[in-house]
Amino acid sequence: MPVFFPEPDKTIFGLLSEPTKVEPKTTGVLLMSGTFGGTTTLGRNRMWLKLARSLAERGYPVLRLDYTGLGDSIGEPFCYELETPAVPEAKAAFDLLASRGVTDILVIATCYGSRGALHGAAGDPRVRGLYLFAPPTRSGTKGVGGADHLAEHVSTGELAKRVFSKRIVRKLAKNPTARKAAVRIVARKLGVSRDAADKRQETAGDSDPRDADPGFHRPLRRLLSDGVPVRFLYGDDDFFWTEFQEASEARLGRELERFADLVAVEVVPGVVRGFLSVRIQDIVIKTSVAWVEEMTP
Amino acid sequence: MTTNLAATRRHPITGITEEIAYFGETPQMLGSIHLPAGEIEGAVVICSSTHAEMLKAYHLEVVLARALAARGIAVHRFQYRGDGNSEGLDTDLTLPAMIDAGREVRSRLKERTGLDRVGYAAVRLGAYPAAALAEEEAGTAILLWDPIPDTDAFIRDAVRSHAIAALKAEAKPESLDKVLKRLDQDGVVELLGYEITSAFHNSIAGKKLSDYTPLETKVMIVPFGSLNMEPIVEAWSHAGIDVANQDRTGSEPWWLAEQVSQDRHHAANTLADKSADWLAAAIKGA
Repeated sequence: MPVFFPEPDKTIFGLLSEPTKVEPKTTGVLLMSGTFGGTTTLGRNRMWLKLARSLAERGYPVLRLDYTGLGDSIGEPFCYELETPAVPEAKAAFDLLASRGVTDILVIATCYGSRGALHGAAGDPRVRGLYLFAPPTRSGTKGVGGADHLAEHVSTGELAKRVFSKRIVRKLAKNPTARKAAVRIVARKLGVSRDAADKRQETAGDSDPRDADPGFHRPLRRLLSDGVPVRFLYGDDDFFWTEFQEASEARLGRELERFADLVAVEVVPGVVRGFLSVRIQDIVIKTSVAWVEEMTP
Repeated sequence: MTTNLAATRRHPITGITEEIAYFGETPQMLGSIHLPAGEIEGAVVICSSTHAEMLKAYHLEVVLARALAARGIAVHRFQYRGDGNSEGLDTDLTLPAMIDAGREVRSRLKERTGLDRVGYAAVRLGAYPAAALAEEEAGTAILLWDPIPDTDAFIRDAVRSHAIAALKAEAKPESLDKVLKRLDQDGVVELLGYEITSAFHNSIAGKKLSDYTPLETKVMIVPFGSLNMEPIVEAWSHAGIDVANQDRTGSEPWWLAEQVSQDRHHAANTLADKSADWLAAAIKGA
């Protein structure tokens, strides 16, 4: 069923697959794709559609969506980088599923979608689990990760000096992403004492170049602290697998160890990212269905 | 014709109404109707390509539909049975089925707008259903984005892109002959992670766009890549059709559908605006 949401502007387009032949379960699934192609509802070879149908046949309502500015959603397209994850879309999707009688939400995501899934799900009591396919752990030093880094490591005086330089003023005037980052820095500065323990840990972690960036690490830790299981699947030839392994040797590894009962990491031969082959698509569909059934009370 | 509950919204700024619904006989198709805020001055059916090309052009078609609706033209987009978000299996996707689907959509749009004649916009392989429909009854105008002059180019492009990807992955690329032999033997072949069925391939094989002769219409061809449009222009001009062939815009292979980017969106908006200007004017002048 096609849906426009959230009210009142209905800017996001989604496709809700609801069970028709079996009693709908109260566990629903949100699928968050990468930004491959002109719509994020489908994926290569209709993989997300096939997964949605397969889950709906088993009684699970499943929602797929187009990110802001893509497919049939409304809005200005932007860079779709990890620093600007699709959090509003994820939150609106959770609300939509809840309005259809879903009480427990499972999220299956990849690439760009995995970052939105992590941030959107962190702190939301309706989310009961995440399955992430080849999620990137690092987003460089730009955007959210970079903004947090600056907020935590650069003094207010030094930041003020930088903001008033001609180059930065021009950048802020032209670039909405830079403006978002600036707002985030100010917010972080103002609320810097809010999460002192996190800050200390991250400051220690940021010094290790192997580590995952805060944009990945922070929501993941929040989810695990709240008892939400997170499963990862990489291909052994995925570049992101190499990054994940490196990060696992640093702070991320300590967190994964601390929450070992909530974390599962699987590796399959080949490249998972982009779902380039039918073999990988089949693995994703099969493992996702098995995971959803396993996670359903 | 059955139409399920539609999702409807009115754009807060442009006033354009968008309705998306599953419609038609089972397996149903997913279709989107874009209605102008004011008077409806014309109607257009957009015929997509298939597989990776459909995915790649998806948002470009949305942008074109919105640009046309902003110019007073009602637009119906749709996805073929067995492709995109429509129902159906891979084996349901054949050229005759694509033409039938376009016919259903044309009737639905006529019924919705009360107009007798429609125009068409099409991308790549979508030019075939568009031209076939325009051959059946007089239309208003046809816009073709990078139409494929002969259908063999479709599979050739797919195999070429597959070979490029194989080389990048340090694998051995397969020749066109080998791929076709495999398709014949197995009934399905995997290219860049897409399953191409022999039902689909057999239905498009050996077709030329110039074999179709649209009735009483204006045509604009916008080539993106390196395909030679001259045979189409020549054949259709000879048949008395007013054909314009725009300058090449340049594009990477269609089957290598890449990540979206701001630059691409900017290019998409420019192309859609320019194309919508021409198509809306041609329809209103028809």
